Amino acid sequence: MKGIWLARLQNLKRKPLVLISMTVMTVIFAYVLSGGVGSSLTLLVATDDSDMSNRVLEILEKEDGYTITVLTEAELQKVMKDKRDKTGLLLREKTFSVLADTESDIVRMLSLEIETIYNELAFQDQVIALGGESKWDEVEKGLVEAQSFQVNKSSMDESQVFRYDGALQSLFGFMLYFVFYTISINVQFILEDKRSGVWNRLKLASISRFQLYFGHLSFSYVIGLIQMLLVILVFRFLIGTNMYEGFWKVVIICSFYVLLVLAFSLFVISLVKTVSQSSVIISLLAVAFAMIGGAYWPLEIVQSEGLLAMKWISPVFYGMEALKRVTIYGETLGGVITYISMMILLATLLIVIGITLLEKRTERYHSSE
Amino acid sequence: MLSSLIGKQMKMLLRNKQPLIILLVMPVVLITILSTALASVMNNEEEMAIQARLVLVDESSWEQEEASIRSFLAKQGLNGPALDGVINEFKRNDPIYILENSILVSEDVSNYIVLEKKQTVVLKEMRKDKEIDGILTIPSNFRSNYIKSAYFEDNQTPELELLLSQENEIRASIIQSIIDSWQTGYTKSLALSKAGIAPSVVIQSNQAVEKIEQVLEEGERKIPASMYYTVGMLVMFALYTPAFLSGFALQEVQWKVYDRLILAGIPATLYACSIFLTGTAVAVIQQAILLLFGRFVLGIDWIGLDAMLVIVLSYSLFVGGLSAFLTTIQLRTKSEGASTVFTGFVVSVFSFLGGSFFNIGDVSSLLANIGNFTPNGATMTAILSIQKGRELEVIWSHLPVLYAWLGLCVLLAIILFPKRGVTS
Repeated sequence: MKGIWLARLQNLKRKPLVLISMTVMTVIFAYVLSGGVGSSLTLLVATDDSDMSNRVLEILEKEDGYTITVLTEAELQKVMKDKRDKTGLLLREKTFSVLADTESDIVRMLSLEIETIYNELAFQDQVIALGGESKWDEVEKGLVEAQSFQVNKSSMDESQVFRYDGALQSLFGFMLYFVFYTISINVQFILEDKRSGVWNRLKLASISRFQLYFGHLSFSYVIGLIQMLLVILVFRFLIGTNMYEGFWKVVIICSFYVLLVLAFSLFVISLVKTVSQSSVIISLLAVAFAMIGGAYWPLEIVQSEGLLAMKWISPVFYGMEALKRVTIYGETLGGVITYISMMILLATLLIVIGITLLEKRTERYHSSE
Repeated sequence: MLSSLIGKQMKMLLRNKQPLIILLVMPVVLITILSTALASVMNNEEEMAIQARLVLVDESSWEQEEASIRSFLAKQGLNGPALDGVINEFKRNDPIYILENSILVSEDVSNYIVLEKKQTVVLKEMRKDKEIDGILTIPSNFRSNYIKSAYFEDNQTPELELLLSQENEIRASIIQSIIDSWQTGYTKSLALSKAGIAPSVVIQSNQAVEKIEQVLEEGERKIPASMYYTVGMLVMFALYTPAFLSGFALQEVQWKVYDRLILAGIPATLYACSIFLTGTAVAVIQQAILLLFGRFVLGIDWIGLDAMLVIVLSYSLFVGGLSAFLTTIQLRTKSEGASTVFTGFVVSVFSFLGGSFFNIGDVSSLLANIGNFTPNGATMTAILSIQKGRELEVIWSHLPVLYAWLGLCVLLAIILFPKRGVTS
């Protein structure tokens, strides 16, 4: 056991490059992305210089979440023609258009918001036309101070806090997605060892199978956990992500997620022959799991039933749900016990299958050589 | 000689089933998944499909409260026909009545919200029902409280309880926005009448703006989800070819095949060239198959074929250059580390930045700009620009990026390729 740990440590000391570069890249990318997620949307705006459109523009400029570049209409049309991923906005006195190549949720939200601004301004104009500026001041005061009635909103689930935080959702999504690779590399040593024959020699040595696997896997687990913790710490303390007092719960859930990813990679490794094959397959699985597990977009927008049912095979889904519930919705660890126990169950299952397959294949290799 | 080397590489690819699965089957599966899963989001046609279920729990009714309202008004000094008139007026303006019979049944709203009315319920049970997206509870004395606060200077604001499910945030937010606009409407008219303006004058003529759908120029078209993801996966999966080719090269070194090739008098440069050409050929074939899949299975109409040919060939050349470069690194370091980092990380980060997974410009324009400098991102932008029906010149601004990457890869491969043979 101790020997295995020492050997792995030595190995790490001699060839630290891959591990270090992967960890550093994960952390850097997490950092860059967290800046990108939730940052403001760049809007290219052109107006017809009418009073109304200028006032809409003025309000938009004050709003958080948009970085606004003002262009003339001709310039806007030209930019929209050349660039793929810009969002343009054409404001006229009585009409507006949102220019975008693809129709996304963000575009739809934006048009709703613009419409509201126009309507609010029209409302203001009408009041002023009817009763003058002083009336408007009065009405405005009434709007803020005297609500007709109050709608108290809370969550249907009594154990949850009513809250929406889209930025945290995508942050968790990308975190779980990227550490999937980082962690899975730690298991690839088995393939190296098999090729070089070290694996067979270890088996011939006087240690039990349990010690052999446990020693290796526990070492990989610890390394994986350290990488995961690094990413969480960067988020929590360097970027200052608000985790709604769920920091420790996040750490605990992530420690199970690391175990599940480890089990998945062990399973993949038991099926392939070379390291490059395993890394290709793992990177593909990570993408597929992230998609069906809701890391890139909230699962609600997926309408295909079959695709939704597939979320149960994705480790990312369990991680996402559990993390979202303990942070955004303020649930306790007890509330997400289903997801945690599913992670443990799947991990155990995959480790058992993985080891069984590995054992079978080693025997076959051995007899053929 | 070169052709037999290329033939050998091709055979290795074909005999291993895994590369075929990953280079061809995976993208096809992902394109299908993505274009069906996200079609409604990008194509804006199936909006109807999202319907939220709202339960309205009304603990009383106008009839039940009328008596108490009547006695309250009587205390204010109203009686006889004046009282009846006022009562009728209040009844017509009752917020709950308007919500139920005018807002929620209007065509715009009823497409999105299914209403269910209940008088008494076991709230605890209902809160656990996963099928329900929102519950609006109206307390038993809400109507009389509302009248007191809205028309008589009673400072207590009446309250309602709205419970929203967090299982499905989109549906919950539909309910929330309808209820919010209902509430704002009442607040507005209250503020107006307090200021002495009749609310009906303002609110009826309150259609201020019209949204004009984006006008497309002649020959231009929108990008549907299926096309977007076919291109996205096309550029992403081409990046896996180098990983396989360099993996085989390393295997050849380990199995001493490479040494035997060198002994047979084949120059190392020729070997590197064969990898370059194989990479290019495989990428061309792969992209052609995926484009044909898009054409015949998803029914995408590819236009601007001459420009497409230019861009696909350029991208394939880049893939070839990358194969040579990655092989060089693998042979230099004699380990699969480079390929691991590449497939594990570089491919995903590049695909992510290039927009293969979703339109990254929606999230951050900075990341999108960086993405246009990745080879796959530049290719994707170029292809999508052509498909939008724009003039073919648009691709020229993206090709330099591609050829800069190609030049870099080839240059590094030439400098670094081990010329004296490699021993494992």
